Amino acid sequence: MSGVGRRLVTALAGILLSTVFVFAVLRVLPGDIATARLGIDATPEALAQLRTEYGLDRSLPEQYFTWLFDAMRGDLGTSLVDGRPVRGEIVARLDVTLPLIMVSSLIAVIVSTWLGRRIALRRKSVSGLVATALSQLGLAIPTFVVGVCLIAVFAVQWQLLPAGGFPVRGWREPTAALRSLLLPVVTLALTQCAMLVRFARSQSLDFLASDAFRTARAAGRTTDQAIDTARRLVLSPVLTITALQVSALLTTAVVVESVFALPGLGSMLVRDIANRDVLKVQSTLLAVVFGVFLVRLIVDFVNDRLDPRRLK
Amino acid sequence: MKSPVLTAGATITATMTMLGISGTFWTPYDPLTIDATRKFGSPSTQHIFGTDQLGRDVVSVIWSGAQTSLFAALLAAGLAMLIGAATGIVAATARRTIGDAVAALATVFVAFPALLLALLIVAARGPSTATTIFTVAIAAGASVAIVTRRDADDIMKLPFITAAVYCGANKWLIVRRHVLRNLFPSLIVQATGAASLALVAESTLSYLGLGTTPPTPSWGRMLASTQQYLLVHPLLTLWPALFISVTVLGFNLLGDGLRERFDPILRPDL
Amino acid sequence: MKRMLVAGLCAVLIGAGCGAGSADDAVNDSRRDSITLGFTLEPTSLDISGTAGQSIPQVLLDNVYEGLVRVDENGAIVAALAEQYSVSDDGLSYTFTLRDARFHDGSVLSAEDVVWSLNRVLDDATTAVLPTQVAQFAKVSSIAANDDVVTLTLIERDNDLLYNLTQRGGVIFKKDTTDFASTAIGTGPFVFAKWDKGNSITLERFDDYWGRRADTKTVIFRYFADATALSNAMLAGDIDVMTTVQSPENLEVFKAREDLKVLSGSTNCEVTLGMNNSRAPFNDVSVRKAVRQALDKRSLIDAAWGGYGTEIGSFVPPTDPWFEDLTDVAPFNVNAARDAIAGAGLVGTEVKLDVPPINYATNSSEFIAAALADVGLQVSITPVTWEEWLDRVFTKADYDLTIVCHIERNDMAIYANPEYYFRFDNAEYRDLIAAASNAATQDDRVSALRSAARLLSEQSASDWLWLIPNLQVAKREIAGVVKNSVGDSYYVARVERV
Repeated sequence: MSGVGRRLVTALAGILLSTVFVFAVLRVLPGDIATARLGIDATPEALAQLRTEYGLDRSLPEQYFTWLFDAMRGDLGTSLVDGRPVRGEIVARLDVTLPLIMVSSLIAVIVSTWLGRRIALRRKSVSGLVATALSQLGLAIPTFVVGVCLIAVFAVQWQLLPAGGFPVRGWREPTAALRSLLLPVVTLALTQCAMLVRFARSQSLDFLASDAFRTARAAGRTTDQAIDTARRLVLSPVLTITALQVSALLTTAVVVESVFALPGLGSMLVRDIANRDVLKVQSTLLAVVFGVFLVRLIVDFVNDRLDPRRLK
Repeated sequence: MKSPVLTAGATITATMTMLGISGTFWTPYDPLTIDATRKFGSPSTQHIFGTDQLGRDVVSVIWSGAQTSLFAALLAAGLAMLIGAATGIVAATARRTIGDAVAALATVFVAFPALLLALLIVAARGPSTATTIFTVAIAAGASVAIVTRRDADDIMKLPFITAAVYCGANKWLIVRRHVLRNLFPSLIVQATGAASLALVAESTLSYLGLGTTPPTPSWGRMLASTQQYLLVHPLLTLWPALFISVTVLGFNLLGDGLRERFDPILRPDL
Repeated sequence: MKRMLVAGLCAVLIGAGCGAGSADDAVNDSRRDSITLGFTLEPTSLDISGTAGQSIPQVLLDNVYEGLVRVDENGAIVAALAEQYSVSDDGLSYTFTLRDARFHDGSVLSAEDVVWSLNRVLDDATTAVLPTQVAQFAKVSSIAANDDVVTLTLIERDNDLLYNLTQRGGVIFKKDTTDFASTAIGTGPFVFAKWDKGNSITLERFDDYWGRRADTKTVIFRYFADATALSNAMLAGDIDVMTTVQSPENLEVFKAREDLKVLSGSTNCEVTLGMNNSRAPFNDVSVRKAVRQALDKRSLIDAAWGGYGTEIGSFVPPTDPWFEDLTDVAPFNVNAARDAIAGAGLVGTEVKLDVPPINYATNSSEFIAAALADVGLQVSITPVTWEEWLDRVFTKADYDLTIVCHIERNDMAIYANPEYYFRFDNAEYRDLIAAASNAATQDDRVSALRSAARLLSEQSASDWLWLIPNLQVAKREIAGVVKNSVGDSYYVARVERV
């Protein structure tokens, strides 16, 4: 299918463009790994020697292509700071970030499509307006404030859940791991939900104005029955938006990971940029961008099944 | 105006804008004067919202902070619309290959986490309000471009456009007269969305130390710098959160109201 | 409707979480013999000798790695890997007799390990060891071993050598160690067990330790990049000790809690307003003095640090024998400051204040900007990351004003280095520091350092805002927490649950 082919080419081109962009930007930042490691009193000779050890004195195209070809073979290199393999670090961090993003997205998609339809139907009534206002409030309060408030209530006041962190033994302590991810997931889901509800509402409104709806009503269905048939039609664009938002989600995840002191991918990236661990940042971003495009391809595929009109 | 949504949205937005403009000229107290003896003051007749961690009058800080926050939000939204709408329309009306290339570029920017863009800019140039504006403009602009392209594509397929083309109408005339006008409802919603995004982003970036630099008052920075006292002095966090929320609410209501007013499809009542 | 839904969802999820919470009995058992301490700054690498930053020795020094000597909680130097040591009368020869100690991999400590480890620090051309460490051992000319006796020979007397041996430069590694960054094999009371990056470092008790074994089996150092997250973790009971209080305003909350106790001890952490002595307008001593006189330190401590802090008039904490109250050298006096700024023709001059991302700095920056504006200097505040601070401010001295806490003990020598970021270039001061370093008696040393501190204050080389007390919070049942911060290490061998 040419559609699938074109999507693949676009995705690949997008990934390549991102790598060039990241590589270039990282090279113009002030300070580098050598100054970050040796800190004070470092002599120029020592710095130069360290840069040679790290291969930072080679030409930029050489550095870029060596890294790119290694990455294509699955070798994401090793961290310049602690010498650990980058791939292992990413996989370890996904233990936290993947469940966080996936579960919260799932909750947000389910809740928002349902709520969006309800609000659209009752947009003239008081309860509909209240629900709209509440969902907009969710959009209006920054994620970190939501997180800080949840911690203040559930962790500090009632001491029901941990205030943050992740168990040392990770998922081998499943209940502890679940408990520590609970508040972060709720925080992230609330933020996403607020955004998606708005969208689901506007999609539902479009459906209410459509010929399909009028036909269904004319055929004797009640409004509720008619709008139920639109479930797929609302879900499909909501999924598209969710896929578009995967990268924005990572941004929010950085904040959530910071508020809840979680060892996730986002907080790792922030730290690595600060440490000028250029190789690791490049490789991690490559993995992230790759993931974003992958999600998008999957969502496109699912949408083709959900909304048969798209296949035409 | 018949729509209560539109009335509410317009009233809130206008009030906040007035607050921002007047704060440039006058506030009850100097928002920068520090007085350690007055810190964490409770609300009183002199200081209606109390005083903050450095003894500054919270009303005055909010009042003059409105300027920074609203300016950042409106400028970011404006830039995003300019970048996004222009590229979106070009992508929809130009030749297929150009359209695809522009769309691919926009996709890259959407796929690239905006926060990391902000981190990289800050690492290179230091934190500032401009970082917020730029980051939001790029991130929101890219998604505006994608949505606009999709909408414009749909509009270009409508029968009356085909008719106009057959009548020999100039392409730019079609874009100006028909496409832009029909895009307006969608653009309005996106513009108010981008403005809310910028307002919230300003505080998020401040929280991560990447936003507005002290001592410039801004709602986002107030929120970020007072959350450490949440357990002891929750009111300090509440005030900026309240103003941000109400303003975002105003923007969104305005967008929804305008959409319902101008969208020819939604107008007939159900 | 949505709120109800969310509340319902929360209830279900929390129910699931809490219900299952009591299931993992094995985990709970291990918790009983495990103590978790909360910190803010995580190490970037484990390389204690090759990577800058205080967070590495904080977890590894004295706990995992040991030197020949160690500094105890009261600041006294005591024997560690050396069973006993002696210094010759002329101060040129140090003799250490080694203990029967074992490394964590089971091998026996030998004099060869000591010679190998210390020779790394003596190599001027090395990049494996931080330049500051190399400089600390510049006066050592040779190291020799004879059975269990190690002898250090010096070019000239060095009164700081013994203390330097207690810090990261004096750490004894196993001979021929190559991997310093990702693991740590030492002789200390704890074995390095696991580093869960971005989260925690786990130490396990070393059963073959030469001395009294650690009181707790597992000690976990947990890291919270965000200070609020750290304090929430303490309040929620997730951690047993919060080793640093980053916003003292919140202490009331901890004090009000029955199950927690607040510990207060001393530090060497002088919050320093660095002024670039090589750059106008701060190359003028009268301008520097005016800055100091413009700042009301008591109000500043109240505003920025909840009133918890001691005013210091120079770069010496009151716990040092050469301390002298010098706060009256440049007392708070707005009029004098205003006159000095006006006299120098600087009214309206703009200066930049680079602020690293740490609470004592961010909290005091706005106060300083406002106070200096009051006497005529326009301060623009630039928040910087630690990396930029290290690169631009610290290494290149490209700054006007900056705020940072100098935590090292016996660190007056930094002002003797004209290349240090203060760019304080004063021959008289250098002579005093040199005289202190090779003074034959303790009295001579104290009097030289006392004169040096006075000179520093008279020259207003920097402004010293306040001395941060070492505030910690612990659960009531935790004993053995080290209260005073005397060196770079955070010693945990005596911490236990009682």
